[in-house]
Amino acid sequence: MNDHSTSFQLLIDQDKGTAMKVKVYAPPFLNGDAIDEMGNLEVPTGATLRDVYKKLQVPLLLRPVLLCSVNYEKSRLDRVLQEGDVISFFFPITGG
Amino acid sequence: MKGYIGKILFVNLTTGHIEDRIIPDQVYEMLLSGVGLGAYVLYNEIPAGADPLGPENVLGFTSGLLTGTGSLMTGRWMVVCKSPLTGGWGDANCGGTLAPAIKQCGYDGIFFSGISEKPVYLLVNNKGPQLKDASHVWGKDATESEEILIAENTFKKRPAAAVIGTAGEKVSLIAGVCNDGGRLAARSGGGAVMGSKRLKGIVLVGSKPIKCHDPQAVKLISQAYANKIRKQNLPGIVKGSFLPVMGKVMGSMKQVAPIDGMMFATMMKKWGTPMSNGMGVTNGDTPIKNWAGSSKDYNRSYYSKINSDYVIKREYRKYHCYSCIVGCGGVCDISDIEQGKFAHTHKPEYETCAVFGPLLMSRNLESIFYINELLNRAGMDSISAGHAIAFAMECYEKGLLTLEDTGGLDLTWGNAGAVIKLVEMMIARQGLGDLLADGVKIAAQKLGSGSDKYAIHAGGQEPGMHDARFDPMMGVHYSVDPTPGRHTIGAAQYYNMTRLWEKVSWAPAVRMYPKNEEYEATDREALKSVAGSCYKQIVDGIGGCLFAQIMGVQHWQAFEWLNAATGWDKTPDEYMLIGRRMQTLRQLFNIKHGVEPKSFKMHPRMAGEPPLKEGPLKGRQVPIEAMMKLHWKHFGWDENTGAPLPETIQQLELDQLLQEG
Ligand code: SF4
Repeated sequence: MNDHSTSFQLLIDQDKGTAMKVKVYAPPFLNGDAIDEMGNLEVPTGATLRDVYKKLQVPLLLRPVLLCSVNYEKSRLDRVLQEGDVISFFFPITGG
Repeated sequence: MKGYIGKILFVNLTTGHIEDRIIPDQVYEMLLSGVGLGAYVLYNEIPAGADPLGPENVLGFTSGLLTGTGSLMTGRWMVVCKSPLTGGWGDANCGGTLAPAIKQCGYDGIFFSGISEKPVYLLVNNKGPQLKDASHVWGKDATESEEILIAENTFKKRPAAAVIGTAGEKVSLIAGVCNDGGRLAARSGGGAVMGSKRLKGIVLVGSKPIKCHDPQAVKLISQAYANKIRKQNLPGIVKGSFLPVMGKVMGSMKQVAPIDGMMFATMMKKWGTPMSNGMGVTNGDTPIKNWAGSSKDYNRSYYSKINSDYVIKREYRKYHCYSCIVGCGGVCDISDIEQGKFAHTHKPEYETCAVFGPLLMSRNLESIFYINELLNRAGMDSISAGHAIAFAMECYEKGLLTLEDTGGLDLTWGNAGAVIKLVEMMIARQGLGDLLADGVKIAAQKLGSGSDKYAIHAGGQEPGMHDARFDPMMGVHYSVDPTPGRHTIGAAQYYNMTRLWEKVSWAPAVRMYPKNEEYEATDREALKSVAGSCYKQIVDGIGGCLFAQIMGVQHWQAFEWLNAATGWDKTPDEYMLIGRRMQTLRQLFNIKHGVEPKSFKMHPRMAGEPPLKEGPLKGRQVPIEAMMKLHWKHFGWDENTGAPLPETIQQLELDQLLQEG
């Protein structure tokens, strides 16, 4: 499949409202209702990190300290997500 | 045979007889290596009722099945023995460089029985194994002894060594075994067993290859893991002072959700385990004032003094165990402390900071660095030593110990100078120090007068610095593990991060849940603790690091590494059955030696009896007996006695591996 057909497919998917799954590790004070037991969250194809923030109801004030990453890399809010992407929020635990 | 060697070395210290023994493949397929191999040998070799400090006890050093195969964070070695501290199964593990050296000498484990007439050490080099005189290092501390033994045996290749310090020589029951200049396999009293055998150390120089079934497949898994770890770096703006604030948030939350274990790596890379120094106090994880206090007592004016950033300020070099890419350790400059008695020390672990800080109400971080080095050199377990001093301080407060008893030491809470003196007395076994050097259970028995109320332990071993009233599953493992009091077996926090349910069919899946659920004795919680326990056996069978384990099975892929390294084609469920078998064998060891599993129930104070009146754990109680019963039931052990049921032994085919007697 070339690039042209990929974006064409994306348009069709968005048109049909096709959903995809991304994996989300969210701290307990976010809205985790939509996350299933395997940690997956369903979002429309073409969704961005900002859409995930909205779904999880991440408070504006907390955004800088939650150090969110996509596939273990720092990401911008307008990053378009792919099926299977891993979105992690920093939240400490005690251990050792 | 891939991944493992298939052979052990067996040394009788009484006769000096040394022999190689072949271990059948079936043993590895059923019990892996590491702690599983150790359990197989010790169950069959040590007669029931043997004196842990007598010639019949067998002490073993084992490496992990995955050690040296190209897998990552699988380089921990294990000491196994009948524990003089608990009277039952004893094991402890440690990082450093010894684990691959055992295999490079051509063995999966090195075992010792008997008692030597004079101090000796075992040297294994290209001339084979030999016992050598150790009288020139007997009486020296562990770090110095290790340096001497390594120097005199270094020709082409630098050897790896493990030694005891003076605490082991003096058979302190809380002595461990040391390597790499002060890293300890601290728990279970393995150092005391070694001292009782007059075995000062082992020195290994080998270059035999460690075979692996599919090195390329192992490498691919390692690369994927390493790529993620490399990206885990906290931005500089995240300071140590931020952690206690996060701890407060955590401690006040009514809900729990599993977080990404990779986030744990970011913190471990920056601070190592002292990341928990303040955070543990504010969220309730750190026991305070001999488990009777709270963060109202050890408040900000205290915990701010042991801030994680102050610990790493002294760190001038990172320290990694063999095959580790996180490197949670460090070497710290302490040349300005106590008139520069020591130039440096390994970065004190959280356990040491917590036990010599909050548990004793001390805010003197310098004293913690100094005590850390004293104990590392003596080869004494800091968790047990700190608890012994907390016991003494509470007895002093309650009038059970007087100034006369303490030799003039004012054991008021927080008196760091007196704590240093008492540590020195424990190491030298002088005065009150002699009473405390065998742990709190024996100290309370000798002191009498109801002092057992202040002797905090589970089955004779002092607990790790993680409060069961904060994480009740931690308390379950303190009380049901064949080596009680260990904080490294399991906890709800660990379970949630390990995410076994992603690969193991019967491990309960976890989403967001109310924190209160953790305080209920339910089948679901029991299944989680059983799963955690089985998986930890696998980790100890492969030489894995606990911190890698809790990063999660989706990242640190132990099951996949195992198949690639051995050529086996087992499912995670099948590996978990092996873990169940290993744990059941450790429990059977205890039954054989007359240990009643019920007697391992943790001290009432640890279960919230009486409940704390303030702080984040206010009113929290743990129904520990009901939880222990359910855990045993789901293990296939008798829910009333904790003894493995005959049908479980049969189902696990353990009868094939065990000799009667
Ligand atoms: S994380 Fe720490 S303890 Fe674990 S293997 Fe690495 S350096 Fe050793």
